[in-house]
Amino acid sequence: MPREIDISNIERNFILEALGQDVRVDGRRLDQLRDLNLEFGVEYGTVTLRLGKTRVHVQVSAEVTKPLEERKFEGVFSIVTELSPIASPAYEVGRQTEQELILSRTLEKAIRRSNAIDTESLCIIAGAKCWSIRADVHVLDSDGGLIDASCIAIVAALRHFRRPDVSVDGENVTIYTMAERVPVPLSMMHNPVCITFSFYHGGETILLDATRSEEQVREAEMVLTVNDWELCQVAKLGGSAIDALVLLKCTTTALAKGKEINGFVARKLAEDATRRDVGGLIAELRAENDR
Amino acid sequence: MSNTMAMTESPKAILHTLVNADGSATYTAANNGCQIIAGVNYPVEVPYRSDEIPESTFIQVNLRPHNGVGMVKERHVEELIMRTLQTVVLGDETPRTMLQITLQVVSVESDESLPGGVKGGGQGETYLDVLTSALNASILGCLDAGVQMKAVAGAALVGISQDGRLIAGPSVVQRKKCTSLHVFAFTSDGKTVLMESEGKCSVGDWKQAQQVARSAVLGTVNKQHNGDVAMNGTNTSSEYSGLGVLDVIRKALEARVIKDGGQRHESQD
Repeated sequence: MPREIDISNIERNFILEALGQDVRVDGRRLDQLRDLNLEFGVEYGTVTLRLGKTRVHVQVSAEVTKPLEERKFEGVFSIVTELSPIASPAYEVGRQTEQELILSRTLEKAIRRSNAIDTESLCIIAGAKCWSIRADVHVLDSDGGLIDASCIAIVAALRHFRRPDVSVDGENVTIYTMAERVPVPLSMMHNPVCITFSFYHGGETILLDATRSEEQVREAEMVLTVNDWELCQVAKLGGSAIDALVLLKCTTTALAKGKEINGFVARKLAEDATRRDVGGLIAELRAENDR
Repeated sequence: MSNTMAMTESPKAILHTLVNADGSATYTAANNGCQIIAGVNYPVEVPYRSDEIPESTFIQVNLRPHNGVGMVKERHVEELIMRTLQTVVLGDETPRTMLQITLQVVSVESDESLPGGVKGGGQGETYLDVLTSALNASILGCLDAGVQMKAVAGAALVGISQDGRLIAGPSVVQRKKCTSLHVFAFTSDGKTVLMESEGKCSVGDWKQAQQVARSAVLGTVNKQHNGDVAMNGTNTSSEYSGLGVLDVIRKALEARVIKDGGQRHESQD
């Protein structure tokens, strides 16, 4: 069965010793993220995010379905994460690893269950028709920080996505194409950002955005999900114990970083919007509607 | 809207677009069509002993659509690519191992300019455009991973419109208006390795389509009769004059060799 190559003792000691002197192998500061880059596709809701060597591609799509029986007034939102061998030979097709499970559960908690999308706004006819929004996460290259990268990419894709406009006339629903009516953005309640903290030397050294080799030598990890104002989630799955004060300090750092990342995403989204507008697509559509 | 017969823009190929996979490539069909990233791991251990082939390489192809999960259509394309690769890959060079190819569709062609909007790649749509890009992407990925092959193959999509015109690399709108669609793959020495057709057509049309596909794959650049191209570095013009799929593959390989020529020299001695 394929498995990830274990880090060698020499490399492990080297990284740990360097971290003891507050030095990272790639020369970053302890609380510095790797270079973040967002690319939007031609279609709405297509995002490729690069965080250092980690690369995640997210595709958001929408279709009309029947709402769940117990939630008649809500649309459906799902996040699908599947790690394929494209990212690393250690991932197998059709066999869920623990890492994959943790990734999808954390994203589920951070984005879906924190109500980042107002699912009620996805309802078209109560109990009969609603939008089903699906975010497919494709990890193309994995070099650590998968949770952070996927979360930023999904939220960016959701903010970038536009669903077709609909009109309801009694029982009849008309779905307009992108050419007929300007598509509508999803109604986002907040923009969650996952920040993973890695702990070394009994919690003395705290790292942000660890690479894969740094992840392999850490003693404990903690994922904090924040939005622009508040903390949404704390997940600490095992590892060595962390002092309460350290946790508080991490929260402050996470809030600052979250704001920074959201600002970056907003700037990239605005750039993309102007690019699209200059291209004449939106202007053209708007002109058509005015007539 | 251009209704010309030829491809207005040649396909794009870049080698080694990923870091972790042994070999990788990004292939974009002409006119910003179906874009696929291929990741190739080779040679790796076969996960199930029953799949192991004592005297050859087991080829596993995985096609992942850009949204949703792979279904019948994807499985069918995977099977076709696997069978085609079996004919070109020299599997007996690495017996009892696996050639693992993962194909990720990154974007599909969509045309919203028409009322109704047209989009490729859905489950109800034709699979031939995906097949074309997927095969070219896997060949590129194999080249990058250093898979030993008898020959390099390339595929092209040809559509026959209602008025009998042959369109090489039809766009998503043109495909809707075609009575039949055909995919042909040829090796660099001109042998056919894959034929797939959809729709109704006569044998004459089919033969003509094969000719169009042949020139779309092989191109019309100065070739010797065995399919070899003299690579003297003088013919570097990028203008589209019969730039076939195999020429695009060759150019991608050239770019890759130039990019890290120094490193390769060091590691090969």
